[in-house]
Amino acid sequence: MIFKKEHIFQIKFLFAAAILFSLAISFGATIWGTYILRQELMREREETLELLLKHTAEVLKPHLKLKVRQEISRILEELVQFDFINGARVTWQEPSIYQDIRHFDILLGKKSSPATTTLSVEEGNLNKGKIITFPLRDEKENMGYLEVAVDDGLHQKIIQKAIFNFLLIGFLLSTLLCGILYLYYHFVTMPILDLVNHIKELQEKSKEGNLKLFPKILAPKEIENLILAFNELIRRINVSQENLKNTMKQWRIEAYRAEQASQAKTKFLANVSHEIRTPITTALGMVELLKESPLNSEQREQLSHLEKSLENLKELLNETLDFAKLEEGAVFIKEEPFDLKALLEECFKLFIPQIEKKGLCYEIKIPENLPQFLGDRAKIKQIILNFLSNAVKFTEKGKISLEARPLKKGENFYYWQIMVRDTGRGITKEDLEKIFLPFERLEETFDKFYFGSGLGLAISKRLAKLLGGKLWAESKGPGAGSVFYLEIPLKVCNFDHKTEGSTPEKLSGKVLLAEDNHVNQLYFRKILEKLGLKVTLARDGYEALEKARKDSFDLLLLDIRMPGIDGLEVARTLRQEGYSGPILALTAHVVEEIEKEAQRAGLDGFIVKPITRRELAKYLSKWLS
Amino acid sequence: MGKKILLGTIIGLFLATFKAFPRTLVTIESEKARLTLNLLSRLVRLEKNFQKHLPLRVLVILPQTKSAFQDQNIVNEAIKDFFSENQVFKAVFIRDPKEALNALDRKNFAILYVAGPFPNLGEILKKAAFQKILTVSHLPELLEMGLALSLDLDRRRACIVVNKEIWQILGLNFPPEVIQKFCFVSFQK
Repeated sequence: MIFKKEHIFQIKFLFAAAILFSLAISFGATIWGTYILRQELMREREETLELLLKHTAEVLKPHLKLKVRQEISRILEELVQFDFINGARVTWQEPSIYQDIRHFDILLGKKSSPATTTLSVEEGNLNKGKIITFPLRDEKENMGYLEVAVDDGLHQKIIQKAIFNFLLIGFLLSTLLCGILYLYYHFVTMPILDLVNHIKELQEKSKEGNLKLFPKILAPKEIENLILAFNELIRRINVSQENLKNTMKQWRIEAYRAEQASQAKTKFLANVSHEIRTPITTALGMVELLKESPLNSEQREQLSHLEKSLENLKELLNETLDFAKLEEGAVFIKEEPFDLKALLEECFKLFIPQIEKKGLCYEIKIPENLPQFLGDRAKIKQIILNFLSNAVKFTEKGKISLEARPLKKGENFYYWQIMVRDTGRGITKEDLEKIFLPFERLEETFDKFYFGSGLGLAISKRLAKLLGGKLWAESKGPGAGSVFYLEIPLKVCNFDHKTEGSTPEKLSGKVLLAEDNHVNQLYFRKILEKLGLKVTLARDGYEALEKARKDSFDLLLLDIRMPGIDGLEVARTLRQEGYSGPILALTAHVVEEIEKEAQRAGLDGFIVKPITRRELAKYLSKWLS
Repeated sequence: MGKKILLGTIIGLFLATFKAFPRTLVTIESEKARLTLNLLSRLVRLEKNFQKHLPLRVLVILPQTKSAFQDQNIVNEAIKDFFSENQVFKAVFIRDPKEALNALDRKNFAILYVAGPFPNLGEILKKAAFQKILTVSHLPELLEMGLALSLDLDRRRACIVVNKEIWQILGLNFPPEVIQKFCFVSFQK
């Protein structure tokens, strides 16, 4: 609206300015023209008058010398015939000869009349008009003068006439200009304004279907062309919109189908993941329980092999699922505060037993007094663990080192370079890029079997990119060892964050464990009780609901998938009934959708199976004393 | 008969016009002549010898021109009018300049007035001077030819111009106040 008002104001302003300007030009031209005309007339009159008086003086002089009044009067009468001369008078000092004659008369004894030495003849009216005097010279001596009464009335009339004509022409020109401006406004500006309003109307009603064409109007060819072009554009937009609508319709169908397929895939993955993890969890739990029972050395070795195989299977499953999620684009970056130094040391510590077992040296170089950072701790950990795992796996002698150094330091961020260096097998120049391809393993160069899916570095590279950083490897060739680099930006955490505590050995509290799988019931009950917790067991959702209503618990641990009503439904119902205690989900699912659903249902946390006793203790310490 | 009356009327009107019209015309030259004659009428009365012989006999030479409206005719008519009205002079008009010399020999003229230039004017003026006749004209340019007195209005100070050499021959006797007014011009080379 402001635009419109300003626009109209501009046009009006231009209109008014044009009128004022034309009037000013008219008046200016009138004044100037009149002034020039007056000057010219006056100059011409002066010249004419001077010429006339000069000529008259020349004609008059002989007659004046001889005092021929009749002729002098006649000449003056002729002078008065001019329109601009009202009257004329000549005054002449008579020649000495007349005085001589008078003197002779006196000598002859005549009585002379009083001597009048001056001759003066007048014609017309000398009282009306401006008196102009012209000297009458006889051989450079002033002998008299000719006076004329000049009438300016004639010139005034001419000037008045000129002013009137100038004003009339000016007024006509102004009117013509106004007319042209009005026609311009009507035939050019108005259609453009209408077009603007039409465009605004189209903007407001753009969702109401086809856009309306601009109606045909009487306008100059250029404006008509503009409107034609505009209407052509509208027609094309309408066609495009129609096509877009059809495409969107088709796309929605396709999207619906894709979503259905995706959901089916997700469901399948969830099921597969759940179904594989559950027995692995159970098997690992059982191995852990068995390890605490009295076994001979042969049995203990066999159990160790079993545990290792299960761990490898679990790793393979996790990597496959992670890669699938990365490819799907279903991986999201979380921002949580963490201690980088502690994270790196924690990662390294996990490999120290293996490093020592292989008889390797190790070194950790991380700067002291670092601030807390914000970032996806889990993903950084995953990358570093992958680096270290490879280093330990392919190094038989020498040293493994972990080094971190800030490349750039800003007020709110650090750009970190984290390196894992080993003195292992090394990588050929050609294989340096190959190792980051999925399922790519340098088996032909291996002299013994190394377990792995070939996905670790591929996943790490994708994760580094997701974190806004980069990842690469350097090696001087086979046998020369290798260095793996990770460069990532990390925000500095500006708020206080409680650092993660150490893993508690004992916890206290009353826990409701809802789990339908008998082996899992056994495993979780055992490790929870070992942590010092009092465990009440529920075999399905109904039982969990009933027990949670009847008794009070410090923590509810609900399996997501249970017969009857699942864990999510139990949590939702309890939250609706006003239950305020912590409820954690216990599941073999890893799919994000399930985690989100769990959060919506009112669950406070999400424990992904399989989970070790240590990890479980650390996680539960957040909720239990 | 009627035709004769009409012809007579036309001729009468023509002659009347011829006679009357020039008198009403005034030209610079005629006025000069009139002024010169007025001056002359006063001067002659102031000269001792002329005073005794009034009215003075004046021979007036009037050059003839063919057209009735020529300036000279107007001058001639003005001169004739003057002399006819003036009692101081007794004028004899001669139209043919050839007769002038004979006229100067035959009659006793006191003054010769030249109304205009003509072929043998120098001879006439010489003869007039020899006979001690005062020669006068309104044409000052004739002084150089031997004219005795004229009026020069074209000069810065208009005055009575007198030919010094001729004047000495004439031996005229004017009062000193009058002589004082004259402008004597010598034409002797």
